[in-house]
Amino acid sequence: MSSPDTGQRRSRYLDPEILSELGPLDVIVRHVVEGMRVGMHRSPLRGFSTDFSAHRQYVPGDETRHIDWKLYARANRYYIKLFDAETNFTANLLLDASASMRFASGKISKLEYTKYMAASMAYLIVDQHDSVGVAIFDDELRRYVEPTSSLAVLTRLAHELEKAHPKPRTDIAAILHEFARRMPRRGVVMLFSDLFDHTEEFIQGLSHLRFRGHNVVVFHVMDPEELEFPLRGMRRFVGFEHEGDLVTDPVRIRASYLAEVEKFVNRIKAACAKMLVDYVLVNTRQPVETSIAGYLIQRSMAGWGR
Amino acid sequence: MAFLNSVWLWSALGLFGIAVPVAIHLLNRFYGRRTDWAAMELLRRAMVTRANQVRIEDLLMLLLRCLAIVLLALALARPTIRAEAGKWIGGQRRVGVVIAIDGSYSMAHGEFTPRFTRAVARARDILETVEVGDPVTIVLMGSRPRILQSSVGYVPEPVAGLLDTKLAVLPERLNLEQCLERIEELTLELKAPVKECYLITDAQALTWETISDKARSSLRQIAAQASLFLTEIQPDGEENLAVTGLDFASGTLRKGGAARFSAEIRNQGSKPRQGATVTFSVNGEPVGRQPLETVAPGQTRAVSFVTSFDSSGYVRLGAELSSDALGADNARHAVVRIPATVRVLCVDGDRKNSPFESETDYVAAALRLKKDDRTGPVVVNTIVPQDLASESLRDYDAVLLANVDHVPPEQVARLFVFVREGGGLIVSLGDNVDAALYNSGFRENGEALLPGELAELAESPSEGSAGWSLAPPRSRHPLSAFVEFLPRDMLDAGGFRKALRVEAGPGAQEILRFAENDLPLLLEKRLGRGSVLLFTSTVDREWTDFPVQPLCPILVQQMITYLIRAGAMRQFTVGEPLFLPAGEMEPGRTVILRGPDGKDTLVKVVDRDGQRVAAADGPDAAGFYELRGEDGRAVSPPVAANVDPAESDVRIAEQTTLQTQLSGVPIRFVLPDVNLPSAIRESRVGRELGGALLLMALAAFVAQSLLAKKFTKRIEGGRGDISRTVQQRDVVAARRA
Repeated sequence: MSSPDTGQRRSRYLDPEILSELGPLDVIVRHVVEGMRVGMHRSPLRGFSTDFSAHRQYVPGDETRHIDWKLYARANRYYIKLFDAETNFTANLLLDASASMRFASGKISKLEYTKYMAASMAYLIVDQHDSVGVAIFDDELRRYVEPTSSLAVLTRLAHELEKAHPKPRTDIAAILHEFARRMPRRGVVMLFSDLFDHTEEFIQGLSHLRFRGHNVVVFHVMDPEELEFPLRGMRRFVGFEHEGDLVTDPVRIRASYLAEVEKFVNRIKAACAKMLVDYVLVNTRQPVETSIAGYLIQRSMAGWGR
Repeated sequence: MAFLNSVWLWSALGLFGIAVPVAIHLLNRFYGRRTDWAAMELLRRAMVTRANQVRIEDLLMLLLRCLAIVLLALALARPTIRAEAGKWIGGQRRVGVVIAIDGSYSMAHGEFTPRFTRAVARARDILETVEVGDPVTIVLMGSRPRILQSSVGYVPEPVAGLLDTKLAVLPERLNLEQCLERIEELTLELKAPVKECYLITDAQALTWETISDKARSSLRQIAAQASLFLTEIQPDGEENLAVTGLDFASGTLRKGGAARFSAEIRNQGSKPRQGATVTFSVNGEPVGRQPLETVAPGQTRAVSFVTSFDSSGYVRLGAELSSDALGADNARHAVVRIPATVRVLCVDGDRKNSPFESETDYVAAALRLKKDDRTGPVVVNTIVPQDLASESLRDYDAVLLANVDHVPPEQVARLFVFVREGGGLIVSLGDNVDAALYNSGFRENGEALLPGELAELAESPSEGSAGWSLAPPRSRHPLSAFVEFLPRDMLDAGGFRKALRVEAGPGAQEILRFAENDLPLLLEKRLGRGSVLLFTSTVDREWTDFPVQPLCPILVQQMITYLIRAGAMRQFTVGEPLFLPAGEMEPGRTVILRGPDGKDTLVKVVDRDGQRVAAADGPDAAGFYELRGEDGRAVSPPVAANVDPAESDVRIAEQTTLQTQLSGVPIRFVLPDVNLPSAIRESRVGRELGGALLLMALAAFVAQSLLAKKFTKRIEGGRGDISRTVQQRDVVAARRA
């Protein structure tokens, strides 16, 4: 994939800052997904299931990558591997709506970006006849939309996010633990958050989910200013979550800040890799479809059925 | 260390300059632009990591900024150091020089080489030691300082041109006080670490053997800020013969009359002088040449000539000595007014019908010479005091107030104007005079018209005696000189029985006095262009028999002649402000002043003491001056300007006397035989540090800029968008997998 900053990308994808001007969320999502789908398989999220059910003989039209080559070696015939949830899985999208998600260096905040991204993912999932549920949380679970395979989930998502009043605290670990306990059957959990919480506890929460056999995807949403720290002049930084004030010249500490960011990202990323959790670092400057497509391509290249 | 610019101003600005970054630094520690931030924990960790480093960097930057500002403020204050150590820190050797050349006319003296030529050569010697760009001030000293250039960066060619074209001897006397006062200011204005002031002079005894306290104080002030040198010029002899005066001696100054004028010739040298001649001229035409007898050193000889006046008007007189080592004082000029008829107004305070009973009858008879001669050279008009208001005083050359009891204030004011414009006033006393009324009445704005305050009446004690006689005159007044030559028995005749005591006032001169009681009989006060004579007795026979003495008509005639001459002969000194009567011209109008060399200058008419005059700064050449209208015709009587005769004493002060006079003043004497450039170079120490400090300030600014860039360069390069980096790494890892 070429750089999302190229002119070609800009002309093809929608700038995150103008998404909100497109109207209702389902319209936005359609724009995003349809724009992204050009040249992509209709069901890009297939293969989340981990339960093998049976083989069936290959027929023209099947994807060659699902051919069981070991069986071909023994039987000299093409067979396709089938999984239990191949055609029907349940995904839960966990949206962090804490105060820190309201941060925006441009017109669009991390929370809004997350909204478009989560909705797009929901659209994709529903569109391939799977079920999707949405949970909105800060320091506790605020709203929960039960999994459904209807596109109405998009409307509910927009509605619930509008009603949500962000709390100045985040407790992602607690939510992950709660979901690990609550979800009756194995499924997919997609977490959208800036992860500004106690990292080790968060990792434990992830571990809990994985222990329960869930496929977990972490979308680590960060603002470009948080990633690049391009600020100048003396600043009084005021936290969203009652962390107190910090006065400093950003230019002077930029290097050490970026090092801290990298350390922070690497720590989470390493933990995710260890637990076979997909980690996606999302920059809200990028078009939503770029972020999603990037993840999907990364996933398809890494292989299915982990 | 000294500072060429105001150290207080630049210190204040420097302190302010330091306060600004310190204040910004401190304010920044507490305040900043509010920025809402989500990743506070990451920020806190970054700050903890960098805290100590940032603190040290901040302190270093603050110190460098403060240092740069301090150095800049110091550089702008332009400090100087009077030590050779200055060269190790890059100080520049700059010398500010004031060259003051004595331009008084004694500097023109010289049998072969004038003193002034040698003075200019000395100035060139001094300029040899000056670097291009060093500030140089050149002053020509005369009756007032002429500043040829003030603190101008030295460039050899223009300054050489200035010395060639603008430096010339002035026909003036040196006013050392005024010149030194200005030189003190000019020295102060010089901006250089090393200042030098050179006084190049012939050290004329007249000026330098009696230095005033004020001049000495100025010299001290100059020496406090600069190295002061008295550069003496080798004189080329001290012999000089000068015309020191040209004045009316005797005779009648009127149309058809004849008068004797006397020129004073003084030998200012140390050897007897003989063989000189004096040439007299009237209206530019030579009228006689007289050889001069041997004049001993310090002796003054009078040489006179007689001339008659066939017509009325203004006559230009000249006396010129044959050439000698100093030409400026060899000529003297005068202008004398010759009226067609002398008109005298007698205000009689005791008018009677019988002949010689009235107060002024004897005076009128003495002036007319012939009884009832109304067509003679002197016309006398006698009136009573009440008619004074109806008379136009401008129609008269002299006015006599004889025993007048009261003169109204408005008439007193008219008399003031009359005298100031050149008229003559004689006031005689008598029984009608109230001393207190006279003392208070003859005043205008606090100034008295009379030469003194009238006091009580003095009477001769012995009844029937001959009364008081006149004492031999003691003053050098022309009327005293005239009486002095009369036979003694004419003075002894006297016959004065009563007189009012008079206390001579400021500016009054006693002319005659009584022999017996030493009381004054005749006093004079000069006022404006005219003069007032006070006769303390009567001019009739009430208090004295003087009117019937032979001396009376002679004295009356001479008094009138003197009063007319006082208004007629007017001389200015070259260099003094010049005022010429401008008649009825409007103030502010510009007229042409034509000088002796035919050069025209534009001058303005101003109102001065109620008179309209054309004012000029001061003639710069001896000779005749007059105002001309636009059509080229003369619009004012001419005036004569002469050099100050005192300056013609060209003797040089003894070195020991000079050193005594200047003891306590840190001044270096540079004798004529000393190699001046070598002496100057040896005496110079001191450097200006402004340039070096400016470079240091610049270096500090550059250093802090480089450090600031170094401390903040991480924003320009280094790691940028981590998300992209992470994604790229993931893609690479996925491909490998």
